[in-house]
Amino acid sequence: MILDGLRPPGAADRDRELYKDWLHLNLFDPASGAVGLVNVALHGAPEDPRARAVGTALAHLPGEGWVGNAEVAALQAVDVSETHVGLRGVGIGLVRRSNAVLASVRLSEHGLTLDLQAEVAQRPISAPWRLALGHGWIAWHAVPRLTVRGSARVAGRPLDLGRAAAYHDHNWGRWRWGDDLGWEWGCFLGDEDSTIVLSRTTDREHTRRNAPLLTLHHAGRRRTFSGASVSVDYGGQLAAPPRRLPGALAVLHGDRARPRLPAQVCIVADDGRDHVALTFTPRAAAQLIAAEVHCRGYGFIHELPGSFSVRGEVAGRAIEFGGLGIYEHVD
Amino acid sequence: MSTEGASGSRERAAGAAAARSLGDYIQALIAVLEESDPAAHARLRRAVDGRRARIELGDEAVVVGYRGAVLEVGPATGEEPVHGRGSTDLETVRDLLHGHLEVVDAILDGRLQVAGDSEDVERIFLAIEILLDAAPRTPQLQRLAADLLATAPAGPGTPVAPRARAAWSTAELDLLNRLDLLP
Repeated sequence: MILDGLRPPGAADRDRELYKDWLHLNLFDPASGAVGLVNVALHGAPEDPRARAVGTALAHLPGEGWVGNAEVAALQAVDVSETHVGLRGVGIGLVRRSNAVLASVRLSEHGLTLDLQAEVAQRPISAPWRLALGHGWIAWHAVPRLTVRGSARVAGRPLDLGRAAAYHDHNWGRWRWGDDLGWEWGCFLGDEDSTIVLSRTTDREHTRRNAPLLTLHHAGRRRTFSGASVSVDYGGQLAAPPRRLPGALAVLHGDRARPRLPAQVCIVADDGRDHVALTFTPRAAAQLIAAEVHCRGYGFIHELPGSFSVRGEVAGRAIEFGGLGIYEHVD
Repeated sequence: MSTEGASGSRERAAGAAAARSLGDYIQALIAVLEESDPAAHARLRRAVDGRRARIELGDEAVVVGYRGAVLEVGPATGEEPVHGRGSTDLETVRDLLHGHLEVVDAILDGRLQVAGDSEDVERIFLAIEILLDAAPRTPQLQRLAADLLATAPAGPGTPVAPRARAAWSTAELDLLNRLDLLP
């Protein structure tokens, strides 16, 4: 399976009120330095009138900062099928016959308009089993790299997407925002076909960290590192104040206006045969506040765009590359 | 002072947003909260019980308070005794709801003003917090916010830069800084 589809709960699902499902796309444009994200997320049992859909589209452009915004709607008022979610200004659809992800953003009043067709360029990372997350679980399916066609207008400026590439994933599960949960995730796209994806679940304080998974694509090969062969270390504190969305929840959580986020992330993967060392330097942060719909509870998803460099040795050959990336810290 | 109970505004909550006054809007918010989240409404009523506040949005001003279980909203003349005052404008509400402005910056920039004894001020903020906390579980509140934003002038589309804070005295800024209350 190259592209996955949404997985709404069945009638007998006792945890249907904890249903979460989202489609996600990151855009990386080396020419302008822009890093973008488009996400459409469903929270809560579909038949519950309180269930919400949230469409988020943000891009960070050096010299301009963040543009875009988040849009919130009742799930029942949103256009949803197994392969697409469309809100008024933000939508993502999957076209399985052509292995393409379509993303549309119409937030011109917030400086962001996108029409993207992203086609699968690397085979997927699939983890459809249930990973423990708080008292619930999460599963995911990712495409590390996609080629990009289309148009983008960021802060009033059209981008030439000739060198741009994308990352896509689908996450679903049953967890409760506000529970003792978190995760760390990053995707780092170099030139040509070099891509690194990192993920691991944690507790809210990030003191209890579950086994990480790091996948490296380089020179037509794929290597996977997991467990104790991967270490992730944070350094410093990012000075830039985060862009916080949705605004109403940012007002509610004024105490989270200055989260402690890293100024540098160092990731080392070494299984005794191959090794890679990645240094990621974030340049900004966005804080996306997720709310539970059937009870009180909030989660804070921090998106850190930036640049990275990698050195290492794989299959006896030295590797070195760099590019744009995004790192996610959730608590 | 003309007043109206929350039940009377319930029908108007579904009415045309464009014609909604500040008083109508507050009535609609509370009516929706009472209907969709009675526990949150009860907490809000307890938080402000026995108090009246003057609320200003741009050039509109009303006095609000509960008489028993009924919310009363009436026009403000400037003469009525109140326990606290809150004042802002539609542009500030827009920038806050779009995530372009932090509350602390709105206060420090003078775009959001709340006055009263410390307990009264705390209760005003608690009432706002209860409403905001209920919003993610109440699509009608989300729609009311969207209705209000639809009447606001177009914004900058990007985070708002802090304004000059010359109105603050050095002593006030020193005190806030010493207490680590500055952003």
